[in-house]
Amino acid sequence: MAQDVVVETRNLTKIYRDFWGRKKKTALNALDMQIFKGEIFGLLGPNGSGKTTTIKLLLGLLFPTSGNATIFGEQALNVHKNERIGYLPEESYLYRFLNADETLDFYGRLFNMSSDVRRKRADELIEKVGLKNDRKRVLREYSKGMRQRIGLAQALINDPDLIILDEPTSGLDPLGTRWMKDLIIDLRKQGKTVLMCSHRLEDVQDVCDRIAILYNGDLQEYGSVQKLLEDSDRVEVRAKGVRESEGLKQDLEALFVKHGGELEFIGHPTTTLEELFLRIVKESSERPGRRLTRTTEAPPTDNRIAGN
Amino acid sequence: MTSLFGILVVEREPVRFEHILGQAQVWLQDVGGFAAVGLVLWIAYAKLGLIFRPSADVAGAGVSPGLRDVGADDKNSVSRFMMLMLGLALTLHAVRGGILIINALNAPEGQQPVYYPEDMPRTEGPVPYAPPQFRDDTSSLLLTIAGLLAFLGLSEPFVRDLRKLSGRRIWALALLSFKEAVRKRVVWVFLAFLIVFLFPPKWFFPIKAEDELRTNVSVIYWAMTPLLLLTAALLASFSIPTDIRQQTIHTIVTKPVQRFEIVLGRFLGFTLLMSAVLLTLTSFSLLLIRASNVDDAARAESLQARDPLYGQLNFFARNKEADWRGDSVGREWEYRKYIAGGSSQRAIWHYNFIPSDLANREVFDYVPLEFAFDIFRTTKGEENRGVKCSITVRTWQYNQNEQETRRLYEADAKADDLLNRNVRPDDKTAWDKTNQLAEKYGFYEFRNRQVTDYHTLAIELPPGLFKKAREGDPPLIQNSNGEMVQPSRLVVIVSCDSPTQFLGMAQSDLYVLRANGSFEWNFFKGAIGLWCRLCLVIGIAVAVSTYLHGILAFLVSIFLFIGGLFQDYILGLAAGSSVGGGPLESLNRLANGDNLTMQLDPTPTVQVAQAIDVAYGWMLRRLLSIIPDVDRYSWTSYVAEGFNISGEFLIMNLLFLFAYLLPWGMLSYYLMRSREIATW
Repeated sequence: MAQDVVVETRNLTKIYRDFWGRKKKTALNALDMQIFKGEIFGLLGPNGSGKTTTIKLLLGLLFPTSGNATIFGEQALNVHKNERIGYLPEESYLYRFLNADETLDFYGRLFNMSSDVRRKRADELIEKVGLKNDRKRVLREYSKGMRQRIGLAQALINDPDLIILDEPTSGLDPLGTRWMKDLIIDLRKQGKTVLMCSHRLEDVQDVCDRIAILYNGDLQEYGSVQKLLEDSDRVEVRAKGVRESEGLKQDLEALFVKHGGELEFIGHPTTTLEELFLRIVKESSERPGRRLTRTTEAPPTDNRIAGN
Repeated sequence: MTSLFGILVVEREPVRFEHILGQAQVWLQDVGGFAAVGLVLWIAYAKLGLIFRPSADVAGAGVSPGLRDVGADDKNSVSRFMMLMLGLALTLHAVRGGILIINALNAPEGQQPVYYPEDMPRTEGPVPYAPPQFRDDTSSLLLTIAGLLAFLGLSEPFVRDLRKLSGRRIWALALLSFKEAVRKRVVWVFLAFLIVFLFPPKWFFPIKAEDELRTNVSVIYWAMTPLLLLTAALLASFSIPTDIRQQTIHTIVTKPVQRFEIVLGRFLGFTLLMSAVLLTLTSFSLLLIRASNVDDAARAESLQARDPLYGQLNFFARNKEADWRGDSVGREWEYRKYIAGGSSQRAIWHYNFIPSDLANREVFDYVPLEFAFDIFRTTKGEENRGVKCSITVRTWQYNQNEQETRRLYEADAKADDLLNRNVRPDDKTAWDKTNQLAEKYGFYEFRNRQVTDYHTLAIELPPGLFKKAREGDPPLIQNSNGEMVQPSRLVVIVSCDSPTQFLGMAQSDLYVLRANGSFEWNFFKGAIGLWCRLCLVIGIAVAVSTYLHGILAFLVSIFLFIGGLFQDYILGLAAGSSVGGGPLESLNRLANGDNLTMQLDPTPTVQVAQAIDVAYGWMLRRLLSIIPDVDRYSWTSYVAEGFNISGEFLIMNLLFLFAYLLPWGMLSYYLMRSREIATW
């Protein structure tokens, strides 16, 4: 069965012009892209590549110069489509004189939600984003991470089918980043579609199913993360229950030479710095008073095979 | 103009229900003109692709151009209906233009072509406001229909999108504005300044007893007006631009919110806030007034809500022309005209309509006739004696057969010992007889009433007069122009009995007191006038702020409001009634050292200057359509002088308010719709 298309762009172009109509910059050039239901789609690129422009075109904050964009089959400029969308902007552009309760109540009203539904939904979301103890404080007093959380809560107030996240982990510490990524994955499990825009590559790699890479307004790469990152020139083998030794190294060398290749590296696989950090934080919170005592560290060894 | 008299100064005729047609015609012509221009601009922008119109062809291969042929029924930009209405409107304008050109070409030699509207007389000095009459000549009708068509065309997408508006969303945005204004504390700062002015002025400086309440009310409204207007203008001007600058609007526009809901929500929120503030201040002021032990004289003058029945004032003198408008005594303020004492000069108030409640009063429930005239002395007069006047009230039946009726009346009055007596209602027997005579003959006279400056005076009229006046229908008579007209049912004739003295009067200086309402309720109605001004400022500021930055929006709204205070002056400039001509002609006079009243030689320079001044006058008249008529909502004098603000007056002015704000709302609708939020 063909996958449902949630977002589709055809030849989507945005050219900024000056007052006299002269072309100033092509922010986006003929973007063709599809996002399917239930996937997490990443939009990558350096600053000025057109990521945010794409998102703004999809949300109706900008008008395309040419081309087309549809969400759930409706034109991007159609306000009605926003009923099923949640949007978390890069900076938390929320009203700082409101507190969390008032913020969610306000955005809930914009979806014509009744007061009971608004209240219930606000309670759920505030609990979910971990702001229960701070719900009565005005947003002006919130930290960056807290504002990001309440921003996410307002993006989810209407239980949207499509969530658009612009730099969702920007400014967050590793704990916050992990929390955000887990939440994004959880949204996918609920059948939601997520479009996230980021230049933190490790975050995108962790969560996204498919990505599009933009540079200078042009689409450079587009497709499944796994396929794009696959190094077809190399084969990776992982083994359990053996110890690294010279004999093992030689046997493997001979094996790969027999099959026309060569052994490039043998050693222990590493976890990510993020995983290490999170494990340490968890252990520290479980065992207060845990601390590292100084030891003499051996110099690093180079496990690359000589000649490589 | 602050009144020194205990009377309401009515410098402009109040608009009534009967003026609705004329007002609607003028409104359609003005708004329709702007609508036609707006349609042309909108379609031009759409043609140039400056307004995005997305293609519906998602599956189309390759190029999906943003441009579409104009004429397609595209709900996002230009519809066939808009095109059709514009085409028809332009056709009618062309036809009208052709008629004007043909008329100008066929005008007799030497006759000056009419550049100015016929109802804008080229008189010297300020042009007095008069409610426009409905005109059914070809040119006016063409202009009206063209205006209507253009307005319909421009409002089609607006009306269509009105159905998509959600009250809940608008309310949410209104609440947001309310909270924002309160929590940003702008309102509290201004209120702190305002509180001082709400206390009775007599606590701070001495005031004449009868002027106490009048001054109190005037100071309260005088203090509230600029402070509240400034507050409203600041809040409304900066709200949307701040939203855009801080990008908080992004989280709203990406919800299912129609852009016009943002405008409506802001307008509603600030209006509610200022309404709450105004209501609180008005209530507080009223409490203070009540707590301040109002003097009896002030109570009689101003703690009232008089419901006057005004007549139409004419002047008459045997040795003057039929259209004589009274004498000028050289006062700078020409509001009043004068009649000389000991002469045949008369001031006559005509009443064509007599309400039934006046006629149905009991005999001892007399009908007060109140007046306040100005005295102009040419000699010192008699010591300790004021100027005297006589007031005669006659019905149409008496006027039909004046001599015979007068003879019969005098005979009966003499028999009852009432001839030349000023009977008061407390003399019950005599009053009853006076009433019977009035009802029988339609005549009543009060002689040698002493008139005092700066006070409202009164005489009592027998209700039988009004009963008589309501009987039957007066037959048509021929007027001085040879036209058959219906005479007035009742006339009040005032003459000055003191030789060498003059009595001055304006139309609203004499009235039949129909009823006396509640001062408190009238006080709140006076505050509605200020509320209307607040709505004007908020509406303009919010509309303009959809396009301009905050400070520019603030300046534009304040400029327009201040322009509204000088509307009469601008109208004079637009009508070319300024002494010395328009700006270029005046410059020419200045350069050549010519005086203001000298007739200039029709040199090419002068003719070009005068032609440009004509165009300048035309542009000023268009500007007048944009400038709000703020004086219309200045009702302080009604409350201060103790005159009721009638329901008809309220309704008409609220209608005007809506009619003024509607085009601004449509402008903001188009501005919000066509602008890219993210590039502001």
